[in-house]
Amino acid sequence: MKLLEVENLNKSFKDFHAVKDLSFSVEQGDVYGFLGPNGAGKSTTLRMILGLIYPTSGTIRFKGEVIRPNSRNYLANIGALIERPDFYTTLSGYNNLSIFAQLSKIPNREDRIQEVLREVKLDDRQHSKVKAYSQGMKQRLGIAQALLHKPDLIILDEPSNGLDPQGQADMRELILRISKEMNITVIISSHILSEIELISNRTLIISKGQKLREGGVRELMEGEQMNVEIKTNDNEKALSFLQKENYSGELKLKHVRVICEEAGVPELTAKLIQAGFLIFEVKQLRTLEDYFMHLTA
Amino acid sequence: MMTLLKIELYKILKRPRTYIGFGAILLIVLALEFAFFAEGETLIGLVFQNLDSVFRMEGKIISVNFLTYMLLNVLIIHVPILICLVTGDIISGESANGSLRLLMQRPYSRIKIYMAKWFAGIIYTIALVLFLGLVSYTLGYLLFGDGDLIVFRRGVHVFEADDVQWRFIYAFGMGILSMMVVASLSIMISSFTNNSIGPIVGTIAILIVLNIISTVAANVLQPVLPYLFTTHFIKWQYFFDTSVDWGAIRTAGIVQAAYIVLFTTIGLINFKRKDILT
Repeated sequence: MKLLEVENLNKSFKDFHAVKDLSFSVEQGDVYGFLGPNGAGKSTTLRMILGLIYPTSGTIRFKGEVIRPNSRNYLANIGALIERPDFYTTLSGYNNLSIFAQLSKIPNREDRIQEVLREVKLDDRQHSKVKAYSQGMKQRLGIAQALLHKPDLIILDEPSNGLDPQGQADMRELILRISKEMNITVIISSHILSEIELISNRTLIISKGQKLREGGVRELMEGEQMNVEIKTNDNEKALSFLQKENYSGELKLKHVRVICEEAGVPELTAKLIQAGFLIFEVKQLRTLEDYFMHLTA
Repeated sequence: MMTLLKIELYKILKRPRTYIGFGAILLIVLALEFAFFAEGETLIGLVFQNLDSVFRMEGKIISVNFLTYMLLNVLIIHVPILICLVTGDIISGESANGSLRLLMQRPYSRIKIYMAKWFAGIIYTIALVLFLGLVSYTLGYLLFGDGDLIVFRRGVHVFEADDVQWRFIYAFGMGILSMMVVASLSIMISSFTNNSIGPIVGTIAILIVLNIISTVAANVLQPVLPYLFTTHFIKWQYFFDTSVDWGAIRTAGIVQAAYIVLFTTIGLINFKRKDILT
């Protein structure tokens, strides 16, 4: 079931066309990666979905219903953390959540606040003022406020911004829990490709406000050339052999690096084995990052 | 709407800036009343020395009513500045720190959000003016006690002590209306910007310029003066004329109410159309 559909969305700021004819859809249960370099139009698109920015043209549907400029009720089913988690810094984390819980008219407010605080592991610091929180704690509080009203969809815009590697890993784990254990559909935008690659099942790549590709991460990279690193018993001879077989490649310190499609990897290794080489390691180097760089170059 | 209003009031109560206004008013009242307590007779003597040949003065001139009347003058420039400190960044402050984004992701119309902020700002404004009245009156009563009121305005008016209460109630009411114009103006400016200081400075600048124009009252500006809201900031004084000019007071009320509606409508339209980019 399609939870969110975006059709021919456009947004212009005076002469600057920030989003151009963007169309995509998010299925219920997706962890939908929204990928693009800084300034690609990711935040603008997400803000349009949330009614923070008015589209110049185009249609957004949530659960099949068209979102009009003055529609607000659909927001009761969406939680969001857009860019920085900006709270009332003179209030505690608990008091901030209490404000958003009141706004969302949540029944059993106290229980729900404690539940989400435990979920994001902030229960022990709930009474500290937000200005004393680290960036990671603010991000987790941001997710807590997005979860508070048990939404069907959570939109997270660059949730790992400013986090250290451990914080990023914790954030990924939290997002996967939100998706799998709470059955909440997630849209996550990022310019950190490894983050999207690790957690999303479907991805949209945009650049300069335009859609470049949409699909599953594997599906996106199918048919694309990639680097393959092979470690053999004689790398120099292996490279000569492969070059005679019309592969292009180069010799690295401990391996040979050749370019081929994913589907061609079994044939490549079979040829080396038939030629009598011993193969110790075959490693695909192509990642979403290579693909992204190739697309947006 | 009530939930939004409650939350806006809660946010105002939790901001240290909110108490600057109350603290400043307390200091102004304390300074003036203690100055009169210490040297009041000397100060008043200077004023009355030229009238000694005309009037025969009996009893005391400095009373709670005299001090409260004097302190009402802070409604012209001091209290408006204190109001702006809170109402001027009620939208732009949240816009600047990003919390407006979180607020607007909830299922409330922009009209409701703006109006909740407006009502909260107005409640703060009313509280500040009432606080001025309460502190002036309480401290004045404790230091000077009750007494007749002598007012120097377009002549000398003397009011008996039991004839001034209703005048003060109306004067503070008119003062509240004037301060509501200030609050509405600053909230409107606040809806146009994304920085905290701009609307506060902007509103104060407008008030100072218009106050100067209203005070100088040059001939060339006479036709526009009745339409400037600052011209009516002193209309509370009309309640302390022997014969109250209700027509002028009604006009002042209508002009100021019109400005409140105008500023609120402009702010509302802008806020409704605005893209939240911060």
